[in-house]
Amino acid sequence: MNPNVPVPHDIPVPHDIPLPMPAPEPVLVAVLIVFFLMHIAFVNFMVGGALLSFIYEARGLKQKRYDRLAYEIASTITANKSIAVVLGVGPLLAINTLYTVYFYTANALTGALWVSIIPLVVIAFVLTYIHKYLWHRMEGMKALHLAISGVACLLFLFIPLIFLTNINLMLFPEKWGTVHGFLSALALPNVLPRYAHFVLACPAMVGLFLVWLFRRRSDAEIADTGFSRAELIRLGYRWAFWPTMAQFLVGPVALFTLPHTSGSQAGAFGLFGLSILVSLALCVVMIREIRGPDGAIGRMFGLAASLMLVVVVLMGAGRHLYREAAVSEHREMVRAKTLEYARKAEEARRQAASATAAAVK
Amino acid sequence: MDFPVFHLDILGNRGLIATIAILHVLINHGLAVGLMPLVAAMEWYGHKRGDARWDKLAYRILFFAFLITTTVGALTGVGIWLSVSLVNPYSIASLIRVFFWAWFVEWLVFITEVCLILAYTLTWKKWATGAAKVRHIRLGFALAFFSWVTMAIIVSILGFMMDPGNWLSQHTLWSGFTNPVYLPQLAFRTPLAAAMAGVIAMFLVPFFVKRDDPFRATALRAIAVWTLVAAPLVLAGGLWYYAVVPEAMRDNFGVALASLQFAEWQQKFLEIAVVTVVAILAVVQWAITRPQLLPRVVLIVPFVAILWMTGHFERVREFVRKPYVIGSYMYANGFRVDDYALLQRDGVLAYATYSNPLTDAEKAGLPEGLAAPERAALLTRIQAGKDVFMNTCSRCHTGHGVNSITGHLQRMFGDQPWRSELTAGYIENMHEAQPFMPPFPGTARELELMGAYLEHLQHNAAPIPGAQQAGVVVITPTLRAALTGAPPLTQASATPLTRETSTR
Amino acid sequence: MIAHALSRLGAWLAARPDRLTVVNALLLTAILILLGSADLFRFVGGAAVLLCAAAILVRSLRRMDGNPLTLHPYDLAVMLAPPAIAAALAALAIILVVGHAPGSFAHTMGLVLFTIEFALLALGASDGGDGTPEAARA
Repeated sequence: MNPNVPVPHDIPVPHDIPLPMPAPEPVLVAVLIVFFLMHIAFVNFMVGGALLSFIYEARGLKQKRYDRLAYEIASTITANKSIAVVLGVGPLLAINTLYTVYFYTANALTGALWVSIIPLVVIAFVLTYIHKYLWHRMEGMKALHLAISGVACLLFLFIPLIFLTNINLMLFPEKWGTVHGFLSALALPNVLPRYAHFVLACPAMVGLFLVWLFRRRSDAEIADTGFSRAELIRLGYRWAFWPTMAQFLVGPVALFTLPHTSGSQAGAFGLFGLSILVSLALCVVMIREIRGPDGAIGRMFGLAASLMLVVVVLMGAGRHLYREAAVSEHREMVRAKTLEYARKAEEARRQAASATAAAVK
Repeated sequence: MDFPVFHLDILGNRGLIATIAILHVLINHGLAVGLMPLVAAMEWYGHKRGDARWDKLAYRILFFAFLITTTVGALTGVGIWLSVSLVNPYSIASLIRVFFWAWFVEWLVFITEVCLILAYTLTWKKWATGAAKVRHIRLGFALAFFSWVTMAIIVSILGFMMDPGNWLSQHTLWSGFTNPVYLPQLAFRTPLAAAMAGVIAMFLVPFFVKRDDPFRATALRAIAVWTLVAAPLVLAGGLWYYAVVPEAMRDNFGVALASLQFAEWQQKFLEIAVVTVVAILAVVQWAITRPQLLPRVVLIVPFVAILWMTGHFERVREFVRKPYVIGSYMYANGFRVDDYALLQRDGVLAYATYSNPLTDAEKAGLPEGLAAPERAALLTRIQAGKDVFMNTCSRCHTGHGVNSITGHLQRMFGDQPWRSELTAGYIENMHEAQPFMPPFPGTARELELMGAYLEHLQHNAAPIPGAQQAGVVVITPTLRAALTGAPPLTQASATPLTRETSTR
Repeated sequence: MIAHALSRLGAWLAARPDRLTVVNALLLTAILILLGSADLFRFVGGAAVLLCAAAILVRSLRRMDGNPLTLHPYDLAVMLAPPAIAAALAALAIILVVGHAPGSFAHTMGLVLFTIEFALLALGASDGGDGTPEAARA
């Protein structure tokens, strides 16, 4: 943006909280990125696990062994969902601190849906518990049992949309004056492509999670499922492979619909581009695993997981650079205005104090 | 002023926080902090005695707690964050800047706690014998310890909000952490959690052990002894807390005026605490002496008494804090004490970022027969008055719902017209008559504008929407001039911000 | 009519001896309250509480066979904590009753507390094996 072009008056520039940051900014950024990625990985396991469990339970109506597979997957959700929630608190704390003005503004503008995250997640969790712990007792009422799983899936798919809408809205102060509740914030460009990108990541991540799970299961446990180990691992890889292939389409759409920002996006684009290259490598590894002989499958899991980790880290870092590009200039204005306000407050305080002193005399 | 105003006009903003927070406190104290040591102790005792019935009962109680704490418990904890950041972003943002590391450590402990409860519950049946069982019991006590530590950290922040103590001069985390109300409050909450857990566990026993099983009486007696030992400590902690609170009050009020009303609250808290403790003791001793003769409904008595006491305790805690949200630093309306001089000189609207647009329903009820320009001028005044109200009152008061401003005015002025002079004159000096109210932060003209809005509310019962429904209007210099009725813009404030001017 | 009610009452009391114990304790308390003398309350009430507590203590000691260390801490707590706390609370109740004017909150709470604690102590003192913890009996 040209430095001499005035910022339009309808871009709000609030004051920030006039207390120093509790830690150097890079530390807070590190907390935000590292723990957010951990959080989102478990969210992917949770959402993807719920979806896969639903799909396989439906298939299990015809073929019993798929029902057992669905139960195996459902059993992992309990732990994954608790870890997903608890890992979310740290990044929430960090984003509260780093982006106070932006984050709280977006929250307030979509407040009704924002706070309803709590009851929605509670309901989704209770449904997953019912789904898992009453699995065998509800054998006789499969339709109801599947419906419970379906509702939980829908909730799990909807809740991230609320977060995404907020995280998107906070980046664009020029939109704050035009938003009327959640739906209009949802309609901002880029929300839906980013959402599609997230949804596709869920089966991909849980696919790799299943490969990890079935590699370490004992032979007896594998035999119980009615599948061979190679079948199960291949199944996990397939879930990881095809959605990742689809990301080569959805990812660029999400990338090119990113709104223009005042700061430079070169860094963010560089990282995203790099992550596309690494994803290609990941896909090559996975296709070799899928096509390989039964005896060798799973050998390259370490490599695949590491490549996925690199992709995720690049995405997280790129996302942060884009966020900085979007708000950095505005944040400078906020900073200047906050300082100015503090100066005026100090001056007014002195004025009032001397007026009181004069009155006493 | 700097954030769009989230507002719930029926339940009230504090109602939202209170609902979530009280639910969280009950689950945290009753099903986590207090219950985990009890469950671990039962498992340990059963193992020592080689009696599987203890193990079975302990597991059932734990599983119940697991279901509730990992759903409603964990999420209401996050819900406090979400709701407080909506209702009073200024205070929570300030607290985070002070307590970031405390919360961060608390979070790490919380992660540990969640991992432990997952491990403890999910390995119960696998680690059932020999060395594995011993390890499992240790896991249980570790879980109990970490549950307590999370509470011990959070209680400090609650204490800080009542009386920041040395933080006001030193501004360090440690000086804030070791505030004067901390230890007494912790000493009160710890046995309270144990007693609550005992009462809840006693309530659960009849669901898990059949009536004709003699073990039911044995288990009831055991849990009753646990509760019995905690109950006197609740009273002792409560008395200590009761003794330090007036000190904190004096720091906040600075006026002797409030002491009468406060003394009443304090006395009531003490009486409720005594009645509660006696009720717990009576039921618990009954359960010890004649467990087989204890009807299940009687267990509801101490449970309700504990709810009543906890609820009242949290209200006293809130009351003591007033008129501040952070003692002597920030008023309950979200304005810093240090900014008052500026705001009372120039006005709140002079620095507000957003206006809260009137909806069509809110525009109804204007006097009949106004010409178009008069109507427009009146609406501008009402709009400005609404903005003052939303910025200075709406964190605690609604228009027509819980703790409504119209309810208070109705009580004071009845059906006579709420003229601007009347209400403005009252609000200007209100904090002297009622020291738990913060002083009005704006100018005399803003008081008058708000008076016009309050007068309008007498004829308009439409709920006031928050920014989450109606959105916000960004205040441009033109709009600001219209709202404040200020003289034409000076050159300096008319110059739009550019990169050059903003980074100077 | 009255005679009939009394005989039913007598039968109800005789059905379980501990009912009679509780009624006796309640009657003593009622008499002390009606007399309204702080000194009598202190001495008679205090003596009654001491008597019960001593009886329970002697019985508990006998059950330990002189060596409390052989018991699990929980069993020890179950045996000793309830009567000890009851005795302490009864003493506290006497202090409250004697130290505060009749009609005050503290006085009333003191009376309530004393009634409960003394009845429980009397019951505990008269107990044979009925109220003992199962684990200790085993």
